[in-house]
Amino acid sequence: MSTHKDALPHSASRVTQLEQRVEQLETCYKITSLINSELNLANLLDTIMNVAKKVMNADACSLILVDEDTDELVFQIAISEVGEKLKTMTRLKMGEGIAGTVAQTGEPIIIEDAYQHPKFNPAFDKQSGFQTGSILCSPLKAKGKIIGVCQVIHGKKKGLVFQQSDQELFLLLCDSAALAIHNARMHLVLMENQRMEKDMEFAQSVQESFLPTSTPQHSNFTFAAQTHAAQVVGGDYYDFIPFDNELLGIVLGDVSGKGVPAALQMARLMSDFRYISQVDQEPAKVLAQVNNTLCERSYRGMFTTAVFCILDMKTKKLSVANGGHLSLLLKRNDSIQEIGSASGTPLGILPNMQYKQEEYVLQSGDQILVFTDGVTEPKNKQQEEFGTDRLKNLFSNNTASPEEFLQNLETSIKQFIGDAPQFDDLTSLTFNVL
Amino acid sequence: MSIDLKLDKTGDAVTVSVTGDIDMSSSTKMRDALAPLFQNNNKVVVVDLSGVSYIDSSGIATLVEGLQWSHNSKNKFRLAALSPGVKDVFEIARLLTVFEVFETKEQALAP
Repeated sequence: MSTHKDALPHSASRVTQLEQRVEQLETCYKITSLINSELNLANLLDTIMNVAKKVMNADACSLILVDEDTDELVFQIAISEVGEKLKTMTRLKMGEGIAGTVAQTGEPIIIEDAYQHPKFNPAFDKQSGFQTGSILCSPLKAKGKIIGVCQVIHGKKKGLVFQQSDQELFLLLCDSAALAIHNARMHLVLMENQRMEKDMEFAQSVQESFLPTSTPQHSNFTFAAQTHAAQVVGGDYYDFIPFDNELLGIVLGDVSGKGVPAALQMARLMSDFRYISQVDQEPAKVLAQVNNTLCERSYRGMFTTAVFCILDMKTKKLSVANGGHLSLLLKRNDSIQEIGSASGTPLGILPNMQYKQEEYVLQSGDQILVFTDGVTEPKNKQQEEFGTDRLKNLFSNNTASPEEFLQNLETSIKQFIGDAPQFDDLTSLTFNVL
Repeated sequence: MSIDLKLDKTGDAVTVSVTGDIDMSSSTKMRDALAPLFQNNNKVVVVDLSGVSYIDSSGIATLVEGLQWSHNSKNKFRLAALSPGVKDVFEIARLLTVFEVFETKEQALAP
């Protein structure tokens, strides 16, 4: 009997322990389900804190995350015994105070009486009127990295002290919380990327709307042009500007750099060319004027190469001025000549530059090709360039229409580079004389 | 990527020796180093590029900006010791005629 009598309390205590353990595990399961269902970071942090406070039967708790830029710890949420959030947003250095030490060492800590601990900072108590007793503090680790610290606190009044068994449960909670925070952050990044992609798609359609929607129609000439940005938007541009008396302005250029800054510059440039060429259509004067305009609003050293031509579609006279751009190619009787080579610097670098103008009388059967370096410079995996010679060869053997030729050119470049990515914007414009 | 910059003042000339790749992330550092040089009494600003094997369009733009600053402040802005890779980029961008380019730093510093 005595044994039984003696054994009964022991057995009852064991049962109680096991019941508590089962309860803890059930709680853990519920916590994991709860916090993993939340992808909004602010709501998630709130949920974690409320759950931690309730499950650990704590009077206060706080969650502190590492700011990777400064390697400091930033208080995200602090909940006192009355549930009031303290918007302290206080920063801690790594190793500073109890939370800073846990973040630095990556080891959890149980403190029986905070006021007896050398690293405890009573300033928060003074601010909140709360009196800290026992502290249980654990690192938040996600993918092997410490992303923050979570701590639960018993008030001094109650006299409760955190135990080892509390730490086991709290560590499980913190592991789930850290993973959920990591996932919520990833979700935020994905959402932001998606938004950016949508914005860029919109920017692409806006940029495409700047380019001519069709090529000029004329009984003496057939025109074709195409552009492909290396990124969603790019800095290559071309335009056909019709004037009176069957004069046609043709512009093609390449703004330094790629992506959005180049695209914004390209958009302004196209209107500059249209506006300035209304006053005087002489190509050399147009380039000089656009150059000065660009220099006036120069920003961060951005510049552009450009070819501006005036094609008299009645007399078939082509006038060309070239600001630092690649020469044009003229195909005549199956031979290729480089014409209209650069007579001045790229536009937008130094003001008051002079450009020369060359004039050519085109013949029936002639074909002109203007292009950006994105056509000749694509490299294959062996780091060989597509090159001017391949382009000239393709051009001299061409018998197809201008539009088909540009399609063939694009196909040839794609075949040449294989799986290598398109590095630069690629633009070409061609016309033949009927 | 990061670049190392070394400034060396000799008389009324200053040389900025750049080591490393000049790209989007490092060109700002070069810009910050170059900008004040045109406000001081430096008659010649030389950028020694012998330690640079790669430069992208943002690096080129920074040097173009340096050229524009020198133009406004009436100082000379010279580039020295371009590696073949860097020279190619300047050639592609048709900028070899825009800048004063020298084979060596010493030549760039000569009056």
